[in-house]
Amino acid sequence: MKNFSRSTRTLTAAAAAVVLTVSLGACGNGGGDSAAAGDGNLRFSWWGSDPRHVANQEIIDMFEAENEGITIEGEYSDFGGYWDKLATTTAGRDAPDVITMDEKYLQEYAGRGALADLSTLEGLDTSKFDDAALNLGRYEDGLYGLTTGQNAYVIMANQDLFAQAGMELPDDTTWTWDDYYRISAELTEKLGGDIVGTEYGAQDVDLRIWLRQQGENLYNEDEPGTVGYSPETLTAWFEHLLEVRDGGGPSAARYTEELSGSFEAGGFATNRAAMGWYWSNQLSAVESASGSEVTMLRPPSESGNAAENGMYYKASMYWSVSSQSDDQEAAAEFVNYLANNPEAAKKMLVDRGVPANPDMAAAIAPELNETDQTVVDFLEEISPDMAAAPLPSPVGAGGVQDTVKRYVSEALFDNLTPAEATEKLTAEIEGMISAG
Amino acid sequence: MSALNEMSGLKKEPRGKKRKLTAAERKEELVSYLFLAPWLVGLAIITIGPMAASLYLSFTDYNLLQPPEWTGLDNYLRMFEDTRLQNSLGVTFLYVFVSVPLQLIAALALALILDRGMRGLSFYRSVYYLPSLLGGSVAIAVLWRQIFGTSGLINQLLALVGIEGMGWIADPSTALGTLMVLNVWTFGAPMVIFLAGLRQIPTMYYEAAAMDGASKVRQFTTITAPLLTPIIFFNLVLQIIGAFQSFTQAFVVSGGTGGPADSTMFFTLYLYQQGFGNFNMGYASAMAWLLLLIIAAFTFINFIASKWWVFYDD
Repeated sequence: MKNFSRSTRTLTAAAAAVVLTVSLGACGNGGGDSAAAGDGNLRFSWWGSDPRHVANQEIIDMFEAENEGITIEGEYSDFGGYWDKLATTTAGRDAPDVITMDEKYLQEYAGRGALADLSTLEGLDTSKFDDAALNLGRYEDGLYGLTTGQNAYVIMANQDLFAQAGMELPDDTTWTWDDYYRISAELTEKLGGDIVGTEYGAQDVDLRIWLRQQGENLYNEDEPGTVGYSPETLTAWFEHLLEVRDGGGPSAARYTEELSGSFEAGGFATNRAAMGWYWSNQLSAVESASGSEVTMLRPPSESGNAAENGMYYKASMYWSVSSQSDDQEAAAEFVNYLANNPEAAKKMLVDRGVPANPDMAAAIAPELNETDQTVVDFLEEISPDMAAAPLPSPVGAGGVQDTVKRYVSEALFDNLTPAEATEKLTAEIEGMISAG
Repeated sequence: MSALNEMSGLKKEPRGKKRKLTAAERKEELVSYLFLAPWLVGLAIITIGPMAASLYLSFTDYNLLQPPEWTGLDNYLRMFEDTRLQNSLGVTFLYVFVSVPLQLIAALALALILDRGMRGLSFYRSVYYLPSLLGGSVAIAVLWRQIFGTSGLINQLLALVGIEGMGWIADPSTALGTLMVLNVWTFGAPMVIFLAGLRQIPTMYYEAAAMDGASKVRQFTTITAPLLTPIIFFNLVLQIIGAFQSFTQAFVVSGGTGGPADSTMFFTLYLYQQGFGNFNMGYASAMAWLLLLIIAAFTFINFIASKWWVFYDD
């Protein structure tokens, strides 16, 4: 009996210890967050591929060395996973302090109070940015994102594959969609095997370019909550994609497979497509992934007049500060460093677009390698043909990108006719942006 | 009246006073609760709390970033018009009803073979159990993508015998099939349970049957199968519940899209997309409750039906 009670006592103590540990652990977690207020511990999130991760870590290290008392933890993932993670952490009141933003989500987050108004933060100097650049990050009366730089949506052409096919690069100042179809079909035929002439340009941005060529827009900027295009133009876009498919483009199955894969596994990045659609700031990334010589081309137009090809300068990304950040001052200082420090700019070069801050653009000029210089020159070269950029996507539009991709695959698999896809896609987009 | 009196009489006697607990027993009772405490705390914080919250949220419009707004039954009514939701239910039902029976058949077949007491049994048992441990993991789902990819292992094997493969995970007609194969492949957990069940059947039945000249097939249909029905039932219930909740495989294999063309859009994946992709957390919560009701209904039906085919040997 004595033994029993002793062991009981031991057990009681052990169980109590477990309970205490558990509850203390809980306290620790709860307390940790509030204790962190203003202590200079920041988290900085971005999406992208390996070279960007390396560059960002170097910037973080430099910043930490110069700013004692502030530590920064980097968080990164691929573009798709990034937004899921940001939504979850924001909902859990645990958003990163400094957030890399995209125009698709800027209004979504700003409109729902998740971002801090940068114009109210001391320590962030935006005086070097012109109004056009700042306006891209405004929502209502606040500045919720600071443009990192600008880029343009282009066709990347793999010179090595063109050479292999014995073909010349087209003249992108005059080429038409018909030229595009003809050249890609010819490439597919001459290259043979697994290699196709072109990847589909089948994202929401491709659609935007297509619509802009007809003087239309994805979102109606005068009447929020509605789309800015006519059904015929969208139907024509789906038909255009089918034309690419039937002219030796990738199979529908290959399209969906690469869609869900990583950037580095894409057809163009693995030298299995001679042309692909990318943002100009991705030139260096596709070159390093494919190991081939890549040239940027303007998208084709219907008329063969480059001024009507629908291109625009897009704010590649934005720096934003979370409204949940418990050290917005330090966050603003870091954004200031990213936006105004030449050393940081030299690490980023044109990976986030050509810097919108002219001083930074000048600072990086001597540092640019041939590829980066090409990007800068290209953006300058096309500037006479550029039209005004669309406004950032409306609240609720975050899901539009995936919805467009889904209807593209439905159309490519012939599950829906272009007219059916048009009707359903439009209804879904309107549902999303009107509810937002 | 007398009956009532009796009842009230019963009530008058407090339960605790029925038999006095000794000090040691009371201590022991306390200890047992202390041991349960971590689990109880976990149950309250991790399960019941969020469940109650999601029930509330299911009646609201909640975009994750702003406070929820009460909208009554709107979310539930919306489901009737949501064709993607209905499609995702169809995909999920198809997945459950095809892959669970196949998985159980595979598990039972392997268990019967292993039960014959071969050499190195524990080794084989572990090997076959391994996929069950790995099957729900992201790593295996990534591997699956590679195996069934256009230039993956399956197509390379097919190429050896001169068949041109296809993009298994990229084609809407086969993508769900690859996920079913993945689920069937994780037959190890039910197999181990079957194996334990087979061991419980007294050998004397088989000896008697053998003496009477019953064939192996006859022995299986008249002895093994009936005596194993409680185990089959148990596995069936567990696997159906598990299959309805499948998420990781579809998420990773389709890259989070549920594609191609929504063909692997499990209900859980659509729920996730609505909640975290489209900021419709209220709607996603309502979907979660619909799933709970569906699973509860199937489990209930299972239990009712079990009266007709499950045989308890005691």
